[in-house]
Amino acid sequence: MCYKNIWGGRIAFMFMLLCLLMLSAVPVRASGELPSQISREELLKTSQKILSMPKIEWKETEDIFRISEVGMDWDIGVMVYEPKDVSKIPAGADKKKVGIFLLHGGEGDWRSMENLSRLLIKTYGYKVVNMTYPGRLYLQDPNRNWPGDTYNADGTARTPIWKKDELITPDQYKVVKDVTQRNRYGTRLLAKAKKGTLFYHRMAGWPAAFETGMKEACKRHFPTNEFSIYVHGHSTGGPFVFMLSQRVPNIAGVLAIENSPFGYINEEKHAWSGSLGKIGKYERVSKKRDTRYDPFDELYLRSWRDKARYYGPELLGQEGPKALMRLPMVMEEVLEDWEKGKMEPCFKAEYLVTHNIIGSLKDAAHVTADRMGLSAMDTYKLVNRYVGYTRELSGPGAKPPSPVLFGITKDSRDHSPEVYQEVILPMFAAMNPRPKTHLVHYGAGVHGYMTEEKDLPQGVGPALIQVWHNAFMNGWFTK
Amino acid sequence: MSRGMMMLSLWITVLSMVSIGQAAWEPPAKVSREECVKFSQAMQSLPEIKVRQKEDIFRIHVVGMDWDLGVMVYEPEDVSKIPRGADGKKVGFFLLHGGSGDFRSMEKLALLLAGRYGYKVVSMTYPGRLYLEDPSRRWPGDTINPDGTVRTPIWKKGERITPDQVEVTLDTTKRHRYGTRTVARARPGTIFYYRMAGWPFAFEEGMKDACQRHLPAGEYSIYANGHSTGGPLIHTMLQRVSNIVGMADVEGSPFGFIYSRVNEWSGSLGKIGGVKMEAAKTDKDFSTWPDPFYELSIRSWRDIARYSGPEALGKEGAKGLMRLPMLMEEVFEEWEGEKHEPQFKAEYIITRNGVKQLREAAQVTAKRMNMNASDTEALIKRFISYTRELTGPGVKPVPPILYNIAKDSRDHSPEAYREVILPMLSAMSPPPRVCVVEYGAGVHGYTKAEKDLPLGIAPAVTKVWYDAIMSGFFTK
Repeated sequence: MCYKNIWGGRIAFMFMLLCLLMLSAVPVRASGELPSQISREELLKTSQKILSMPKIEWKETEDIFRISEVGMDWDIGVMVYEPKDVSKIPAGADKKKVGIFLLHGGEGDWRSMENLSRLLIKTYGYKVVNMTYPGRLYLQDPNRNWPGDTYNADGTARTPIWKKDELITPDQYKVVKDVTQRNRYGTRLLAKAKKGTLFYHRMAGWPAAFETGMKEACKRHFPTNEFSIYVHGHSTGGPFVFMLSQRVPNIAGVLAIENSPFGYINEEKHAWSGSLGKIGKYERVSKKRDTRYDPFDELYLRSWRDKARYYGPELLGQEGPKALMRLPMVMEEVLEDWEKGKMEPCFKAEYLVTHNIIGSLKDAAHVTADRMGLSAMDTYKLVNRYVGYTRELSGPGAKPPSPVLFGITKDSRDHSPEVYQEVILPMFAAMNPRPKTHLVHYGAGVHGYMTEEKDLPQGVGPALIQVWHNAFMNGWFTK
Repeated sequence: MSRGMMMLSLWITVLSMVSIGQAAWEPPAKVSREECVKFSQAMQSLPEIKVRQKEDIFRIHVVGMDWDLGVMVYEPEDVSKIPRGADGKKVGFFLLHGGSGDFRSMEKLALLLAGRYGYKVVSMTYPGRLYLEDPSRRWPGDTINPDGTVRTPIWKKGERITPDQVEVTLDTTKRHRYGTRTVARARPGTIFYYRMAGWPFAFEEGMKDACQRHLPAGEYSIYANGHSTGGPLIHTMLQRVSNIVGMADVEGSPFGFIYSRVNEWSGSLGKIGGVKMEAAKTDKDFSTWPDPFYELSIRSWRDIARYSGPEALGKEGAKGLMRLPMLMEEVFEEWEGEKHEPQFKAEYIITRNGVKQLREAAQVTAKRMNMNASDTEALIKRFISYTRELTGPGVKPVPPILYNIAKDSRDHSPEAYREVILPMLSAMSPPPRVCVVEYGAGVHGYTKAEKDLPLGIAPAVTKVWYDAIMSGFFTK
């Protein structure tokens, strides 16, 4: 736990100043409507204003809790950020306190979302719950830094820790290479779980634990009558918060900045560009559908290649193809970035949900049901539960899909304006009932939208939280 | 008609595709990709001439030191079959590799010239680059070792540069082009230091000796060729060997003083297609080489990347960045495949007109040899002359040069030739006859396989050379 006290006792004065600045920041439109485009110039002004605002004192607490799901114990971790004086948590247009539930992307843990969490708490005082996927938290050390590399010279690999002190031993997996998606990923390394091992059964069971863990985190920290929850999942985290949005009653909306959509929509998003994406004015390099078939028992081990697969397209947007003229330096930048980031988990099992791999979800459910000795009816229910993670719930009694405030940055390979216009927004419009949606296109930034760039020390983060704030306060989500 | 006869007639057809019988043959300004494919197919389908290949290691004694030099000689088993050019002399090729390699880098070209045309080919390795400790000539391990030591040249069999003679440092002043460079600086007073000061002289004498041993004047007309870094070094030979009648170039850099101007023109980042990079503001200007003569550049995967990047830009455009992980893997794989080549380089002082460093190297050599002032001045003059053409009374004029440039080569754009190289050559007195042929395919490593071109553009280039030799472009 840590406490931050930056501004001492001048709180009342600062609060007044804060209110004034909140009203004058750039993306606020006179009509109260949300902007569709925010230029780089506006982003710079907003960034300067937001970052110069007086800071609210806050505290950070890690909460590790254990759940039991599909017959196994799972240790789940969240980092909670709230004002030191919790009575200062602001209420939105619906008079409920604003709570924000965050999920990181495919590479990291809660630390990937720390900059955003801190920006939200110190600027607006919202309560933030920042969760780590099951298995991603390095429970063996309080600093949460994963030691070493994801793959070792002796053939062993980094594997998840779903429960403290329960380590996956090398005899439970075999590391294999996959070159079938080399254009996007390069050569992929996979730890393939051996049948019948603990690793195998964890890999089959985590989807249920993920759902329950998220619901439990919301219940523990955002009581239904006190908070309206706004959820955001970066990249891979996106399909999971969409899934959650209909399963927790007080989730009021989805803050979908660089946030992949429901799995079945995300599958179409990738199919649109042959999984290679699109950047700015450059034509799609592929339109060939590239369907994924990842089995549930394969854990993807990340490497420098995963830095490169974002960095390349981002450089294309920022410098153009001529960045290739300085390839040695570009490669050094990729390798340096990997060196800095490899203490994060850097493994991934979530494709089954994020890419709508129904066959693998069914397999995982069946393996889990077999292990638990479930009846045919309970097996059927478990299979349906798993398969249901990739799309919106529908039918009688289902909570309608929440309003979605989409946001995309300038140079993000998988989140181009075109794919939103041609694939994502039409698929949301086809839902029944149709959720309220709005897309904001930010004139700077990359997929890691808090990434520093010239004159934007926190990327587009300051502008996007300003947009969110306006949406909460104007009742865009709740009216 | 037998298959052999069919092949022969096909080859004759190919050889006559460019009209060698005309009175005034001129090289084509451009050779399209389709033509490259046609030449390549025709050449691949022909039976090969049996070639004898022999390594010749010889020792020379210059600047008070012994230097072991190596050439690989390729010639038809039946040497009476070596063809004669328009001047009636046997055709001999003298080849120099580029900045990363040794004679093995030129083997594909050498075998093409000897095995398809029957020329005698002498392919020389720079002083110090040959791994004299093993007949395979494969350098063991990597250029940079985990213990911080680095690979160093072997200028004389059995004489190794020990780590105490070397200070290894990192150079980030040229990062946009090279990434972080690892350099081995020779400590003053060591053998390494004196070898680094003396090699330019040994290089000149070694090349002259190699020509004399294998391509004697009176019997052979020599067509010189140096790839990339080998270009400026081979240019120095054009006027120093009497029977070199011309330069059959492909992707070779020009005289050092011209090449430094090319780099000034392009900001050292070169040009691909319509993309010309401005000089990086954070990088030092190195169009004229700024680093000392006693610094050896130790190559790594970065030196593969500095070509692969621009080549991907030319061939794929934006897609190259969209598949960056794969592109990086290709770079690492290529490096793994090439790290048995020498992969160190000291020649920038000649290739980028490092006159100051050449002067210092000559002074250090003169001092070691206790030369008097007059001999010292002569040595300095000699070293400095390696970067440009010789002038004055009695000097052999620069012979004809036939430049050939690939489509996607960062340092050999048509504009660099039009705007810098050709005007500087035409300003010489007398100006040499110079032509440039542009190819619609290929990269800097011009024998590199690409779709439908298993030997890159080399078959098409050698065909143009053949026409030039037989039509008297070089000799009439």
